Amino acid sequence: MEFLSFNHHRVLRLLLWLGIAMVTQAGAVVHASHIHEETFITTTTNTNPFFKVADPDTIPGKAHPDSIPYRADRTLARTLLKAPAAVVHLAIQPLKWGINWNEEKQVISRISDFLLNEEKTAGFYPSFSIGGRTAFAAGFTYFNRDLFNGGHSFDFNTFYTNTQNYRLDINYKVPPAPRRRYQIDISGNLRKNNDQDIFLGGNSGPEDLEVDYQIESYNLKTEVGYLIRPNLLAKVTNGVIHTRVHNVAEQTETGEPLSNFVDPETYGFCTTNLLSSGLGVTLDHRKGLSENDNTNLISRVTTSYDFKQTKVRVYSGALYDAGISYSRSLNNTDFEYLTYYGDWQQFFSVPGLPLDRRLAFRARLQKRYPLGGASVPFYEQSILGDADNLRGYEQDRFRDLGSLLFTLEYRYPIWDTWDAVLFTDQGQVFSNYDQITFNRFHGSVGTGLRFMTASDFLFRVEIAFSKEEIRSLLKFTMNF
Amino acid sequence: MRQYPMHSHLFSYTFKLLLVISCISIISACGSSRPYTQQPVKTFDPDNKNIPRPAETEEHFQWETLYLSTFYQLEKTLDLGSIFQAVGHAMGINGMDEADNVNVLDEVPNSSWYTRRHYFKPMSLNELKRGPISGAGPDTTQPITVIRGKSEGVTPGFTVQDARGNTYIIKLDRKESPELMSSSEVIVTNIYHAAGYSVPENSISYFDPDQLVIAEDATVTKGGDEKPMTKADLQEILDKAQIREDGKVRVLASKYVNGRPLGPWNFKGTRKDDPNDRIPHEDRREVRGLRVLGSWVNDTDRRHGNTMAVYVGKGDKGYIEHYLLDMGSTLGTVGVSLRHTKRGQEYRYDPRYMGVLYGTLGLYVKPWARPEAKDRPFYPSVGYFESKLFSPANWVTSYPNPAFEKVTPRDGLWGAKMVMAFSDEEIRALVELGKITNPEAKEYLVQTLIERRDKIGNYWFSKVNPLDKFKAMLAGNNLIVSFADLGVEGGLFEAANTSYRYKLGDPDQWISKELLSRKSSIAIDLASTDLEKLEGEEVIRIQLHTLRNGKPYPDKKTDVYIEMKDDRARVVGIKREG
Repeated sequence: MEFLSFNHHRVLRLLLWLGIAMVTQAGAVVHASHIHEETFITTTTNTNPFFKVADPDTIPGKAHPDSIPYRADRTLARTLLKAPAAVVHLAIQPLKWGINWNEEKQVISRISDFLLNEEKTAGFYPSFSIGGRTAFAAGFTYFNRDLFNGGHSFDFNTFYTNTQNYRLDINYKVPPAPRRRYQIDISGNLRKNNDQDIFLGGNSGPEDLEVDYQIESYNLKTEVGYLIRPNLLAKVTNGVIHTRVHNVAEQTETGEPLSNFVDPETYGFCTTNLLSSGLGVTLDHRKGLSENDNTNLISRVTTSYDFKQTKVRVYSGALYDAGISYSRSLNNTDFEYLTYYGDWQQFFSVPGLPLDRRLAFRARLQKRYPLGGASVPFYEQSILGDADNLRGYEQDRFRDLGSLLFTLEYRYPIWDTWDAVLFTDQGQVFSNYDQITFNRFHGSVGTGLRFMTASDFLFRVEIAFSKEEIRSLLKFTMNF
Repeated sequence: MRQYPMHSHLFSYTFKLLLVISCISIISACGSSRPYTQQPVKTFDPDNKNIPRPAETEEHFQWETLYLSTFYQLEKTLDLGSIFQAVGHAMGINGMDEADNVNVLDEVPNSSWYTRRHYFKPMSLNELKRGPISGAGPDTTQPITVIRGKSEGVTPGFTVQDARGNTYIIKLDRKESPELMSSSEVIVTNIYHAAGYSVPENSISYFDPDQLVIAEDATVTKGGDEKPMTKADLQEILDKAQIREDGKVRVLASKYVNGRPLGPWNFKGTRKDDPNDRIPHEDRREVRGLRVLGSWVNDTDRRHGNTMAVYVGKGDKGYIEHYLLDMGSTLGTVGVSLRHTKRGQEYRYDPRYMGVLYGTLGLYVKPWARPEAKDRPFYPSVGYFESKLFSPANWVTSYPNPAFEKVTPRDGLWGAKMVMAFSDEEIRALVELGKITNPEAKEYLVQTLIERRDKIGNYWFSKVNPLDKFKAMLAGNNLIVSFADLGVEGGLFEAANTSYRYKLGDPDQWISKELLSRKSSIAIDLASTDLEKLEGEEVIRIQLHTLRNGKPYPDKKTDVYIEMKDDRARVVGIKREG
């Protein structure tokens, strides 16, 4: 190994010095060339040793320099030294052909025309997800922002991994614009996962105390909203959820019987139909840099179609969201509970820096109360460990009746429509408030990039670190 | 027996290969260079020999931008020859990768790429204003026939034929930015022409839309497809333009160039099917120097798609001339819209600034991204064009340009002297061509061009000793060598505070001590000079430093070689320290 190392350095040193020596050896080269049946003699005075540059000025002889063209022929040495670059150049030729073919045939434009309507208000686009409930899922989205020519909005998303792991989402909104007084939002989803993990032990459960299960879930939810003020929305929600949990492992990963930890029936390892009704209110004071309104000086990056109606680059203000709901089982299982939640998002621009260097803070509290001796199924409990919270941990890492989460993000632009982000998530789950202590917080930190158009969020890639995991994410939704 | 791993054999082969390469290089590069000539100085590069008409090429914008922004940058780092040269230069062992088509006076001979004009023989104001126009411009007194339309894209317009049979591409200013595109295009066209480049005949013209007649076989491009052109199509294009109170529409008319267009020429490499094309384009001085002119007029869209190779000649007896096209994305405009503050400051996709911003956690704020970057007078007919943030060193096009990336201080000096050749009065005359109706806007544009010009001069004249236009003559026993100090001529430095330190010798040795001249000329008394030391050489060498306020600025020398023969003296070589 030492020998190798020695040789390596020697060769590198020699390579450097020989290269420089070649560069410095610029002198006169006399050679004859035939161009258009015209014979002449050339000499080089140029300092470039890699081209035999004919400088007709310095040619001894009777030919007038103006009759002799300049020429620069690549020398063998120069050609050989360029070999690594030539290899790369050769390797990218297929990509070049593909891009040129696309440009000539307008392939992407034609695909876009095929997938979208003429007004670009409706159509399909591909979608995929990395690092979520399944490692990878792909599918498509159909959107229509002008359904029935009346401004109704419709979305249909699919994410498919295999026949045992997929998800369908449907959403219908009247109207799509957020500033109308009356709003109706109907959403439903279907998901099936055959390899899910549930971590037992609540906030302090060890990483290997988990069991596998399979789940099928159908969910339909309606939300009727009323804008009390332009930034204050009151809403009434109703929903039904059908869930079937099956093939639950009888032992944990550590080999202990599951029954040592939970009662399968009351924990939710069964088929359940849940009905939920609730009230909520959202106060939105956020100010975003979504539009460059100084059109005199700034050209906009255009977007071909609307992905999501998201405020991008929020630099000040706050959003408050709170609500309460009641849920109970419609079949013979014993689930009945109240849920309430509060979400506070606060945004600050960093003093002394432009508005687009900003801090985003979020505090979120969720709590469920079992009623009348009933319980809360595990999949309805508060969960931490997701692409939107406690990102450095495995999916669904912590769950209990309540959760408290703090997130702080520093977001700043590195390009017109690219933001970098540094973040930390701190959270814990609990059964009752007495359990909340400073020492029980789990933390993760990370960084990432967010990609946008001038007015819409596109996707984010993030890497998060915790004591247990390093997790990378690609998501098409903002966390907040 | 000791067994060496495969790696050691690989290194051994690498070593041997390098040895061979270096031997070949050294053998092929042995001899001595001579920075002067005893022949006539070359003023013309005969790249106009008849060649068979080459095939037409197409622009591949998407690939070019991706390639130049990414893969080409990677390839440069893998080009070991360039790396060795750069390392050698950094260590002071060798020079930079200088342009290949310069003569012994560090000048570019005329060619199919370039014609010496304003700098070498100052053009009159009328000549500057006339620019490339050879006739009277489009005939707007008769009906004008529309033969093709383009209702989409950055610059909607159409192609017409006037009563004289001349064909013009017509481009229209947008209503919201009247005069912006057309004024920029004409002003910069004439600047480039005066600097020596081949450009189309671009002029501002006015006509009544009723004069337009659609040809029977006229077509229009819509949605990427070509369709027969209708009145509605023409009206759709005209609706985007501003109609003046007299009912006329102002247009930019660009005359078809003489010859057969073959598509764009590239800023890198040579054209394989053109035997006249012998110097890689990125190594041509006039192509590299275009960066400096481009920085002056903020020509950020100077990419290969905005060039054109034109086959001039009949049948298969002709050659390629090289044109610059589309000066509509210069000064304060991009196409027909207003320029973003970042244009010219950073590439459209600039990993350098992305890295800096990410690494500094956004604490670094690009000056052109600050609110105050927009805090200046704004005129719709000028757009965003400024001189305060402009940096000649850091100016870039929208995408990396291989020739512009290779600019050396000597190339920069060449470009800067082309820019500095335009006086305030000449700039004012050229801006008049833009027919900008708001006098304040016009004056703002003039002042901004003057300020940017001076910044360019200050920057590049600090990199290379800006002495040029050397002349030598014998007057009795005196050798008189005169020259132009471009810094003083351009009004950047006071003549009273400037002096020149020089010494005399032959190409190999000095025979005088350092002397001082307070004027831009040197008189050498040959009788009192120890010329016998020159041992019969006919060429003497004078080395000059320029002193500003008594100190060398820039601290770079210029060597001038003068041949004295048959009672005549002439300058036969200039070698500049870059």
